[in-house]
Amino acid sequence: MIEWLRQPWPWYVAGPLIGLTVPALLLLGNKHFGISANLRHVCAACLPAKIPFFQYNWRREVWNFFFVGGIFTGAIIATLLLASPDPVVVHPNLANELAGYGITNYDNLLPNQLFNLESLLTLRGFIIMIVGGFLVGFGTRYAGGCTSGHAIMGISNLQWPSVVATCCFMAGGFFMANVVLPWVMRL
Amino acid sequence: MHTPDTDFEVRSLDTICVNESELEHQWYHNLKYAVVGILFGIVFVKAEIISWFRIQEMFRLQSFHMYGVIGSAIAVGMLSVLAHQAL
Repeated sequence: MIEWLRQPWPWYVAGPLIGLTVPALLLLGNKHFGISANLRHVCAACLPAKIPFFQYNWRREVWNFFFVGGIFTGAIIATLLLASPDPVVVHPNLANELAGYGITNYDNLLPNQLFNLESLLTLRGFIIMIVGGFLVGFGTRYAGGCTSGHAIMGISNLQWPSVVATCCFMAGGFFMANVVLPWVMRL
Repeated sequence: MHTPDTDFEVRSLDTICVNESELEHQWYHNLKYAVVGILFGIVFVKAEIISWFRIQEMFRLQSFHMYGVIGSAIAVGMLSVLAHQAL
């Protein structure tokens, strides 16, 4: 049983479980599934300035902090207790391409050679971690939600704006991974 | 001079017709969301959805994994919402 849990889970197990989060949150308390809204709630809770965007009763959204805290805890449990002993398996073409950028270590879900403290001070690491983080924060608020909120909750509820947002996320991802990232990786 | 209100998200938290309970719950009622979150976090790590490598494969069309996850998650979410409305 534990051995089975420790291997990477296939999509047909993970996808339906994630889909079930939508009815679970709706039934538990009529809550709308979303992660990036927490960035806003944190600002509303912490920023004293009178910015209209942050002027609301964030205490009503505390459930979302518990949800995200749970995700964090679950990720720790999965990493400490259920970690796969084998390196991450990737497509040979991708491994080939990444080797050209000096990425050869597949021990973790993130490449160690890209995401570490030392590379934070290099141009490549700075762009990927700091500029990337800024774009995530800006983009999710500009779009009114992230992939989980728009793609999973929004499309499940047949919201047209969420379909548009998800298509744009995908287009942006293809552009970034195939056009911009190879250039950044060579820095 | 009246300018149209285009800041839609300021309104997004108080949706016009929502059946929200006025009951004030104790903080520990929120623990049920933490439990859902824990299961969710385990799935995200174990299915390698948070993996940088899986995301690169997805956008290079080298793997079906992420499309399967997203597609089946949306399908299950949509079916359960439709089933809920039908009841």
